[in-house]
Amino acid sequence: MGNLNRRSPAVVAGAVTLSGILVTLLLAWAAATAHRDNEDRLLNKRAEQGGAVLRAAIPGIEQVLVTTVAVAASGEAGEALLPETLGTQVGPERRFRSAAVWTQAAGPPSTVLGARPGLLDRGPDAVAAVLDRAQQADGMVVVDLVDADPASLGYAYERGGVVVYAEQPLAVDRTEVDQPDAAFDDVDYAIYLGDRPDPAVVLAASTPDLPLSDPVARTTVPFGDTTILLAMRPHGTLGGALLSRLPWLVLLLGAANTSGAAVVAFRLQRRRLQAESLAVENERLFTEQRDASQALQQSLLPGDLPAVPGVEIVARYRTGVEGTQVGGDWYDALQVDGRVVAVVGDVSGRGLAAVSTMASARHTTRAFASRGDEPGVVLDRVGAVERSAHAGQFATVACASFDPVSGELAVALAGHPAPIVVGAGRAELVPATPGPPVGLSTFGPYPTTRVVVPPGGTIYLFTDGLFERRGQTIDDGLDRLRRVLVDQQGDLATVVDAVLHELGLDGVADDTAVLAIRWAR
Amino acid sequence: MTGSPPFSARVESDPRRVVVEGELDLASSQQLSSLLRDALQGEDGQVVRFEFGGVTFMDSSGLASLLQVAEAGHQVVLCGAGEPVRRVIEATGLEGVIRVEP
Repeated sequence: MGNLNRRSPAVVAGAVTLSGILVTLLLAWAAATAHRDNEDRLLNKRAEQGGAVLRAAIPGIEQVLVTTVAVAASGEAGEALLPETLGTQVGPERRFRSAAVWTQAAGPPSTVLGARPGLLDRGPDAVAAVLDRAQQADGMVVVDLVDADPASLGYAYERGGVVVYAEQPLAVDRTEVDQPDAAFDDVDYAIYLGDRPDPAVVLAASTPDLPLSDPVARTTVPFGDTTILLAMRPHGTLGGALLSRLPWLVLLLGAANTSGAAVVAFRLQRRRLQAESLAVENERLFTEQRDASQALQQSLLPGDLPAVPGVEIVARYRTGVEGTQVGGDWYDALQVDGRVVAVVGDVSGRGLAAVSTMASARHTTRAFASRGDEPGVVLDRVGAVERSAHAGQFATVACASFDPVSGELAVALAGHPAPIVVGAGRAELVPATPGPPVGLSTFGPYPTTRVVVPPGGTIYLFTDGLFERRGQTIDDGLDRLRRVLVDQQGDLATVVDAVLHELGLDGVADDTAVLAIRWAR
Repeated sequence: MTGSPPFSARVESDPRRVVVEGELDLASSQQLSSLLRDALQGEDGQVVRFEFGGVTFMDSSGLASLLQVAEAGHQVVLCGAGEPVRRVIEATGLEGVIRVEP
């Protein structure tokens, strides 16, 4: 299957249009076929009805002849009655124009009623042939006098040697016969003598346009010793206007639906493509923002840590996997009056806002720390400056100041976990009491706690990503961290990397910053 | 994958009471924050009691949700918080900001 998903709206609209046209044509063809079949069926029905009407009319003619023969056969007395019996049917405006009776099988008629029969003008042979045919036939014989003047049909009937003959004039203009029956005013018809639609022997027709052109239905009706052929064709449609217009309606509606569907498909596809490109654009912007945040964050971390005599400093930063936005962790270290001032902080929230809050908190802290104040004072001042500065965002900060001469470590905490001092086979949290995070409306107090680091000992400052685990309390996490830290031996950079590895930092949700200071003594 | 850890929160008014259950991590804290923003919009100086009996874990983002309420001028009271949550409050020096009650 071709993939329509990414096709241009025009292509999709084209495909919809094409299939719409196909379906429409199919439906129109089906409707036209149904209409045609229905018309054929109705026309045949009409022809049958016409045939039945004709068939019903014929016995009327024959019956007159049969009755007359019976009267004439009863001798001269009977023949004398003919004017009062058959005679009532003969004359102008009557059924027959003329009639004749033969009591002998040949020669001139014994009785003639009405006008002189046209048959007699055809000569004795023609008369003898009719009389002979009447004797041979079981019933009435029909004589073709269509080409006579006036055009007529002759009917002869023989019984017991008596032949009764009557002539019926056809309409003066046989091809413009009024429709006598409203039941057939929706068709043109032609009635022929015999079984062929020969205009020369048409008896009656509703139109001079003969033979009728298709579609024509034909039916034959026995007529004496011959037949009548009835042909019919519809004027318009027999099945009604709706059915005949159905194919056109289907085409019209189909065209309208198809163009409507094409427009809808076009718009849907366009919107879809727009949405897709928007999603791609969003993804791009999102990645861009994350990259920008990451770049900003990296640029805010100190490129080089200060070289302070008597100490080794190592820092690491790990980006967490939760969400796709960077966190606001940071570390910093500076040398002030021969002491190392180390700061680790963590801004609430993630993304660009967190990073910019981090930038602010980091620079404020660095600025106050560089003045040589003790950690508690630094945090007090940072708290005052950062107070409610970041619309609900806050930062936890650990600030430590280490004197590599005396080994004294001063620590103050703003909502941040205490540093761990590792040395002499022990790993202990600095027992500092934290004040609230900075950036809130309330800040301080931030007491400074002092401890002494054993020679060769290491101070670890870190953010909560290092120890915080789902389902573990802070104390459990910190205990685990202390156990891992106390076991480490060797080069500080190797140790820090090993700690990060052992704590399984890969895949940890939160960002993590670690700063380690080893007292090289 | 086990999907998101269980979490639910509902806010009741008069007195303002928020019943929180489950784990408060980055994702659920965002839910809680937006719930609280909507519920407390246009109000100030309320005492908002958080029923924390059913909270089994809270990280710094959960703490941030609570502090946002406090920063909006409300008095945040944690009721029935277990040891893990109480330790977070203690370790972050927030006893003066968030009142912890049994």
